[in-house]
Amino acid sequence: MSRKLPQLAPSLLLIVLTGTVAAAVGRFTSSVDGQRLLQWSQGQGTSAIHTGSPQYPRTAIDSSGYAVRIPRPPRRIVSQYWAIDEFVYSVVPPDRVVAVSASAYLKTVSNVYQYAERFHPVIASDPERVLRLDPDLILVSDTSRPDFCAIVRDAHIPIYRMFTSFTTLQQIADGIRVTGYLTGEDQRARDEENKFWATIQNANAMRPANASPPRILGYSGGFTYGANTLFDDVVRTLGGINVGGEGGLKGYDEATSEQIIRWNPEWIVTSADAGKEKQVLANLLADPGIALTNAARDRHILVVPTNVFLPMSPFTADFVTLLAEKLYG
Amino acid sequence: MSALVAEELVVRRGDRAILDRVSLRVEPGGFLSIVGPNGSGKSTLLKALAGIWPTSAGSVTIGSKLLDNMHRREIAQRLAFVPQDIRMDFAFTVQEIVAMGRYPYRGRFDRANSADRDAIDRALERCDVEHLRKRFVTTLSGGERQRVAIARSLAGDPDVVLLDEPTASLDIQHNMEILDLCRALADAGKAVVLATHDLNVVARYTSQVALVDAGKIAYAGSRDDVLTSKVLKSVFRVETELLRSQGGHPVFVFHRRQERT
Amino acid sequence: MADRRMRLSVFYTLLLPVLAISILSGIAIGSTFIDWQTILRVLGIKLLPNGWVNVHSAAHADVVIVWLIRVPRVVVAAFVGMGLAAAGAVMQGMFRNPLAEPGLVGTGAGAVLGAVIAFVTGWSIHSVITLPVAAMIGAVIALVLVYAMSTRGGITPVGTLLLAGIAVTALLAAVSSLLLSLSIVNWQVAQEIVFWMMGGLDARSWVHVWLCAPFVLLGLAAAILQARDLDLIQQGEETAAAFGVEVEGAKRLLVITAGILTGASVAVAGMVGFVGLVVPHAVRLLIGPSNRALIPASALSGAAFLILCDLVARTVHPPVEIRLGVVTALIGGPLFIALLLRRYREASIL
Repeated sequence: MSRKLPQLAPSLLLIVLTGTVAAAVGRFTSSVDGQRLLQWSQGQGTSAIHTGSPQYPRTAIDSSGYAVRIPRPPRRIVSQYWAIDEFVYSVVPPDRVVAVSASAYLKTVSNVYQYAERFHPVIASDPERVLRLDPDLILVSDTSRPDFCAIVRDAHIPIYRMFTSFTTLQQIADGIRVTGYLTGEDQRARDEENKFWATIQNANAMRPANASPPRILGYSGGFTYGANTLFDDVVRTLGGINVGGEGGLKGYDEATSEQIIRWNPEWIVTSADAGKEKQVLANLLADPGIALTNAARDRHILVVPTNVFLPMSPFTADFVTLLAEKLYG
Repeated sequence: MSALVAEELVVRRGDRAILDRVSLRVEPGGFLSIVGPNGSGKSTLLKALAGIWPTSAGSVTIGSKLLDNMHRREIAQRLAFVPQDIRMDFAFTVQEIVAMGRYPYRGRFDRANSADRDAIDRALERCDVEHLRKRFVTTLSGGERQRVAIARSLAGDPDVVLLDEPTASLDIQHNMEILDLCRALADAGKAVVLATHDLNVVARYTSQVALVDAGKIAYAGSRDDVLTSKVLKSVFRVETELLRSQGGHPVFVFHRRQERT
Repeated sequence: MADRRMRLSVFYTLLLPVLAISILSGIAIGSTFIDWQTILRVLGIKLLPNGWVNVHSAAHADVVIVWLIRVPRVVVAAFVGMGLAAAGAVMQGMFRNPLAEPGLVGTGAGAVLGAVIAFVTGWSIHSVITLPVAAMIGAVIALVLVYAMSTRGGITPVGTLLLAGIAVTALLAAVSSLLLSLSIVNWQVAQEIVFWMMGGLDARSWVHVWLCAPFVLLGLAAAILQARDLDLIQQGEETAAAFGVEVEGAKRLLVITAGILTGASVAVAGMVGFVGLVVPHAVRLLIGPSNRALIPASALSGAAFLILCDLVARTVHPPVEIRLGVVTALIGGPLFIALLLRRYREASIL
């Protein structure tokens, strides 16, 4: 009995199959639907806050759909993500934060550097060191790997996967509220949220009534911010036009010199570590696409310190203010 | 002891017949050589006889049982095949190699029993490799390896032994050792079949010859009937000078043909 | 030298203590050292019936760290080491070459592609099992394709199998790279993919143990059952057939066995090279090529080897973990070169 398997068919099938899969996946992940699916699968969903009653034990549903149970107000809080560090320090008394991400100790990147320096929380990258702290609340980002979460859940420690892939200022405000709920600092969170919106209102108030909307490009190493990004929301809130979004880009995507020339922004916003602003500016102007824009001509290139540029945390309000001052001040 | 009989064997590759209705018979105690030009199908015939090359038509029987109706292990108990290509790249001991010859008789995890041990000892002695028992095969010479391979085949107590070019890469001394051994096996009642290039070997040791040419048996019969100048000229297309050795065996000396056909 | 072979009893007398010590060290050593009494207490709490060991005799953090982090990690390392070493032994037998290795069947590349797809689409985020399961599916598909491509009329020539494995590996690796490059915009995902591909056992938990152990044990059992067939196939396929081995069926089973062992290992640990190449080769030099002894001995040696490599990966440059694949390459590479040189020296002497 001999089974005859056609020789060529499996090979062709393989090539066609992998080619199609690769193309489909590639195309899909960069399309809008793909982005949305990615966001959903990464737990963004509607980013609505699923919290329960203010009575303890409290329950909240995290970005992966797990119901996290918090039996009592946490006193030993761990943040494993740089943006969450900033949420936590905005809302919680700093002595209750026992571990933070490594970024909190980086002066150029962190807005909460002073707390890290003063209170010396442990760096939360090593799971064992985190567990040795006997934490009662661990906050990780929605994009973190699930392995550590599984281990911590088995140890019966509350761990919450917090939505951090913000595309709107409202989502940041929601994040403040969630942080307050999780950490038991609801009043502080409310105050912080109000302050957040107030700062943004004030920034907006700087806009002259009859000003034409400034055309703004957000730029970072060959990439820009299209529609459905936080930058886009910030610019539109300030009454400007995000040329990346206008140009049809979705999400964080490449911006070629050609595109930049065509868009011809009036303002270019980028970031640099403290002390490197001149260098970054020079590099930017060396790019032929950028050099030909109105922004370059009118010297309207803003080099913002890294920690201020789009912090993805309550400190974004300060970025909005800075932007408003430069645009309309 | 059983006779090995092939009837109307056909082996195809694509639409080409490598073996085209080949029939032959080897009795117990017989010593058959299969000879023929390169590409004539000698090796394929031998492998088909051993049951390890699939046939398109025809049958091979051993005793009176059809190979096609037998399990591979059963075939291996009755029939031994020593291939041309002896691969001994791994450092097994001679003992271990010859013990593999008992595979057809043992279950997956059976330990060697006394029957196995006796068969192995006998095989080692017969092939004169008993003194090499503990040596690693990778340290042996070509001739020693050949004898070990034959010992391995004999460990299974086969009735029929098939050897494919056993002397192809051996020197004169080892050549003779192997062939003496084959002769002894035939004398002990086994049916021995040898596929070989070397017509002088055939002339000296074997009694029956089958001459294969382009997949068919061109001539078959006793050595003296088949190995004549006329036959050799027509099949191998060489001029043959037939001499006689001191022992009475024919010795062939070959001359290339001067004119073109 | 070629004339000396270590007795099995001596070999295991040396290996088993090494294995025990590596297991214990693997559990004891980490960012904090945990002494063996605590370890035993925690194991007692978790494994013995309730009440035999006082639950409060060990600090909660110790219990969590030992039982949820270190023990599963060491256990996964053991199984992955076993799987890769046994697969290597099977491959070296099947290809009749002591320098063959498990990746030749293509399952490693298939597992990587499955994992990359899980990363890029974001499926890996939600549940711990999605990633390894996707990798295993990839491994199976690759195996089926390699086998189908190299089999005609029920016969799988080993040379064709090798080429098909190489071709499929190259193709799937290219597709993985393609997906990686397309996703590089999302830096975090790209970073995770690259790190995963380099191999590692960070944050492996009991889930990973349950995912890989059954396949490794199944594959190991299948390999040991086929040990004698493999011995004969090593002597040449015609020889094996002549002695009663159903060669094509045996090869099919061997390929599947190696595929399962490799696929399960790569699925939970990423690409960890050299274990499947160096460990069986070295063990064969010590105890000889008989597969009935070689396969279990390689498996246990592979377990010890990988546990120790993982220990090195964790402790050489704290708190950063060096990728496991890097460590096995840095240790296995020179070992491999030494073995090669030995072979050349021997060959020129003989």
